[in-house]
Amino acid sequence: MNEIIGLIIAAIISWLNFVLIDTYLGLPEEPGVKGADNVGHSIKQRGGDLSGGFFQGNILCSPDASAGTLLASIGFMVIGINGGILAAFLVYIGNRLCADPGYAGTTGALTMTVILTIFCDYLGFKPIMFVVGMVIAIFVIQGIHHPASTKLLGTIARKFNRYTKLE
Amino acid sequence: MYMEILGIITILMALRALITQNRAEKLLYINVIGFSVPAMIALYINTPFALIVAAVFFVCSTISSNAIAYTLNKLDDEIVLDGE
Repeated sequence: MNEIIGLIIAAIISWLNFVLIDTYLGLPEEPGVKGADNVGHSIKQRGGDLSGGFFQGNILCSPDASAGTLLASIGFMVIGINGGILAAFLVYIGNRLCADPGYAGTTGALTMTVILTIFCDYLGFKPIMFVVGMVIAIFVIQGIHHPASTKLLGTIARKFNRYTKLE
Repeated sequence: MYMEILGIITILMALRALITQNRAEKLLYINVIGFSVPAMIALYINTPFALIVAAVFFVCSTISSNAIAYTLNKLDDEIVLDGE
């Protein structure tokens, strides 16, 4: 597997894993904590989408599926499949420390462990590609242009019927 | 190659966080650093303990981002008293 192509495919898969799981579990619908509310409205003031802004705020304020994906990839890289499961447990603890009662982080970690087993053990990818790919994925969502990425997240939220009803 | 990519992302986000004025925007750029540094830790240590170190760093940075984000609105009402 060519390194650059593998890295790009790994980034896309990591992006899909965390965005789809987070959207399905309701992150765009409402802010989990007050901080996420502040971030969501700040992005809306700068021309972004409110639902996408809540998504960004929820990523910021608590370990969600993006954290689960990253830690599962790291766990798989250093330990193997047990590392992915241990990462799910660590993300669960992190969620409760951040006063988040949800399961987005643990779900993301477990699905990522399954994906990693398929891609790394049978399709010739390396776990390190998924670790760096996840960082690239979060850079694309939070590091380039917030109004544009929140509009994309808002569109995906509408497709999943998870768009926010708040103002 | 992988360490270099993570390093470039970290430095870019740090510079961007330094330059931008909006506080919420700064916090989101720093959150990207909160992802890339655990990845760098894991790549460098590359033993099973790396998972624990990376997870602890990540959770701690998330807890502090949570605390900072909570106070973002409250700073606008602060009153500054010049020395009397």
